[in-house]
Amino acid sequence: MLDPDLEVLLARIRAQMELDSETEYEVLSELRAHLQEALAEARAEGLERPAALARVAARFGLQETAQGLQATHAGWGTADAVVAAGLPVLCALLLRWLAFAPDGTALGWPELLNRPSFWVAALLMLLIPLFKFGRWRYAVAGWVVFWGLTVVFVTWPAAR
Amino acid sequence: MKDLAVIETILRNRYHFFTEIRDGVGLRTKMRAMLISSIIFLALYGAVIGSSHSLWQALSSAVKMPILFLATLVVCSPTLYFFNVLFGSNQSLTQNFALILTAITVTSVLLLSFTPIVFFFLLTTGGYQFFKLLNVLVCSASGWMGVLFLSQGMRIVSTAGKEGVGARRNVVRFWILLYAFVGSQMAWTLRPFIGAPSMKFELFRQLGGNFYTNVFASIGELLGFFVVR
Repeated sequence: MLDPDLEVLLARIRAQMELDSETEYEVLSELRAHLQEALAEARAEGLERPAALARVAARFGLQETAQGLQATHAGWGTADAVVAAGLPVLCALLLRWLAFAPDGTALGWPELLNRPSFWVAALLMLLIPLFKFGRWRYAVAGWVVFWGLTVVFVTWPAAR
Repeated sequence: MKDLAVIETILRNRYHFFTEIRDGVGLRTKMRAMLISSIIFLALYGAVIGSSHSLWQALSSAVKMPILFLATLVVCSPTLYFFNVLFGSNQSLTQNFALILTAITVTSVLLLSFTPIVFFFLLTTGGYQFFKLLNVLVCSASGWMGVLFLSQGMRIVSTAGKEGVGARRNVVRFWILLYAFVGSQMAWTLRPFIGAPSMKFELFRQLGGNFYTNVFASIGELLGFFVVR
């Protein structure tokens, strides 16, 4: 159950942050648990509720906490979006260049489907981001789409 | 991550960001972050559009795309500064530079966000003229949003000046036209960015013609009126 007094403290911290609302919610949920613990501790020591709240606020330092959280989490929302836009395209370009000659001409297109090296490169290009960039779930989903498109559009003319 | 935090502030809390530029707070840090991010984002976009031709074209466009925007910035920023000073602004050249860099950063972030879409069309369509016009459209839309940001920023920064606020707004409008004109000519001078499929890789093409006639010719070919040689 939400404690209205702790919510006031959290709202004051939130007012000093400029993160995306999802990150703010996650960060404040975690902080709420710590504040509740600290408040219960203070009450167990026999402090009256106002004094216990004042001690919690002083112990955490509202401004310092907000600044610390802002510094730790700022930029991660943008990083998610940047990686989601950039990583699939970068990986797809690498895959295309592994399949083509550097001058852009098709290298052995008719044999492309039978070349184990192409499939090894294609599978590695798929699996490495899947396991390596697990945190970037949107980027990985985008990469799966582009991997499929790249493989289809590289091998389709060869198959014809 | 610090550099991306600056980008996040521009996108989420532009008023705060422009106020800090107006007050000259952390200009060097901001400019460094914007410069690094813009170069990386523009290079990736350049690599994508160039990869429709060849690896060399992709590498060349990855280098030329940041040069295009930064050279336009360098060429155009003194004009904005002197015109603003003439009409009562108390901002330094560095502050003007930071403001324009903000516009370029917004443009580069938007271009990055268009990268998967452009790459999707690169994979699934073969028409050179269509791809060229698509990129002109994407760059124009992103550039337009960038200068809108600059215009908002100028409005916030202008409140610090003593007089001539209205005149300075007109200066920004005039400067935006100038910036678009210089930018398009700079793009024409640094071409090719995509590379015609029928031609071999070239770092630069011969001078001649201009950006606008080429765009109209591409539209004409796409609509079937004539064929561009």
